[in-house]
Amino acid sequence: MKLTQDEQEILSGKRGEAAKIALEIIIELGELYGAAELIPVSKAHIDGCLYGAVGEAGLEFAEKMHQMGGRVAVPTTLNANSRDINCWVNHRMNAEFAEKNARMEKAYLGMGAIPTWTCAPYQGVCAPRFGEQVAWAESNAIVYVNSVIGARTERYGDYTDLCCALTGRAPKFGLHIKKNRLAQIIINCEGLPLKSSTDDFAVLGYLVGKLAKDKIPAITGIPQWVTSDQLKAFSAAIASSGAVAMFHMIGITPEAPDLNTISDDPSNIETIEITKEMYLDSRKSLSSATPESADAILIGCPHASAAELMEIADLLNGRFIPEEMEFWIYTNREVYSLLESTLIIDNLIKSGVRIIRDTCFLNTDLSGWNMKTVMTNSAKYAHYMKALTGREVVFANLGECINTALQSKGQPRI
Amino acid sequence: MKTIIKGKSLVGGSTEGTLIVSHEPFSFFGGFSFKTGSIVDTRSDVYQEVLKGKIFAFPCGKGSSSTAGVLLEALRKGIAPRAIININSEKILAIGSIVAEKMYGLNLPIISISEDDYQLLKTGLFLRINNEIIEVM
Repeated sequence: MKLTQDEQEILSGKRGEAAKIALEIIIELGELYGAAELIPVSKAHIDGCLYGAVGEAGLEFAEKMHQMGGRVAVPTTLNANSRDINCWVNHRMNAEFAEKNARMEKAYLGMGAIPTWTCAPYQGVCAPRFGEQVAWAESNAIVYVNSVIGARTERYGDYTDLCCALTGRAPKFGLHIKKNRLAQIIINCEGLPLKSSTDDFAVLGYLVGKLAKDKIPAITGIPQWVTSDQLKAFSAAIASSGAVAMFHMIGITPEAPDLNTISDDPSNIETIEITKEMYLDSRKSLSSATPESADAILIGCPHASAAELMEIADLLNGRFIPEEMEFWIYTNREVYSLLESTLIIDNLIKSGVRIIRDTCFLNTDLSGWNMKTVMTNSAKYAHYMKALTGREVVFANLGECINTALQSKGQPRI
Repeated sequence: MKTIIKGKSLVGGSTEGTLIVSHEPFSFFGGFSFKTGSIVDTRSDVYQEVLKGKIFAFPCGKGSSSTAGVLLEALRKGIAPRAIININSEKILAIGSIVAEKMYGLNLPIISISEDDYQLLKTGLFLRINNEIIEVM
């Protein structure tokens, strides 16, 4: 691989042992996939900080890089971790598990990362610009940042993220290069009666991910009113059922004003038309139980935005959730602190909602909780629920989630 | 009669073992548990299989970028498969193997083979792997 003088200096160890090892790993990955050189990246997003997902090896890696003096070379945001840093004690969490997570936080913050603790960094203050070269991990965030923002990242995994952050470099391959960002399959949604709700786009994303597998889909027939929260749900779903790293939506996403712009020859690309039956089958495949059995509602995968929290507060409208039902919303500290100055957070808490920051239901310690069937409007939660938590799942829209919660048994909790 | 498959060695190495073949995209995160060592995705066609000591084939990856993390932890605990065979090997997978070599000196060969050759793979076959060469015994 051709290296710049700067890169040779990192490799010689002049910038410390951690940066040297990080660059060695990036070079090895690049060479495996035929990259001839590296490119500078200006931001990184770390997925490897999720102790619940990566276990002891991930903690050892982070602490080793930190102890060797690792320091991020570019602004680096952090994914959700495995505990609510402020309120984990109230969350019936195993103290040893929380302590492991605290060590993970210390290692990444010690290397200079920004404590965003969110899986939706693209909706926060550190989001990159169109065309910016970045190194992002977290499958939903990779899809969103490539597709909706039009920044450029490969589908990076744990550890690659930190190596890119410590060196400010990534291999020049894959989606960093414009010609590799063209559509490889066309998915036509013109016949679908999509409603403006996140669950409809979650179902659609889940289906498109299955159809596209690891190709870049160009999706036609998406209405102009689609919101960033709906595209967030779509991105998380498409990256759960497929290995999709980016999509185009014609007339919606910035690289795709029309089919000719994202394909040399659109008439020669495989095209699949999504029928209503396929769509309904996809929705059905996300549930393993019936709504009556739900004893918890989970919202916020990916992390809920301010708009989503406000919508839930509006729909609840001060009504109380009975005590036999858990209603949890996962969000990040940036959104939480924005809304703390209003009555939104207070009102949600008074209604019986538990608002959890920094973390994720799938990657935390749930040993203190006995809910058996959760209801959610997130396709990503629904997809991973059984395998990662052993719980059954009911996929529903937000209105159904709220009605199910309000109609459950027990005294209102005040 | 022995069959020889020549693939592309992404991460080199020699090993042998009994094959477990899936015909669906696979994610180690949410697909494999490093607590139990088995496949936990109930939708998978290899659900409940234990991967330790086996050679694991699946056509391509899908899902979370934590696949690298899950794989590294499985390698550290000694419950990972001995090698992985794909049609299309994702970078998310490769990095797990690269970091395992750097951190723990552990080798997990990863080989990509053609779609046609993939059809020759059947669960229960015994394979011997030497870099890009797969011997089906």
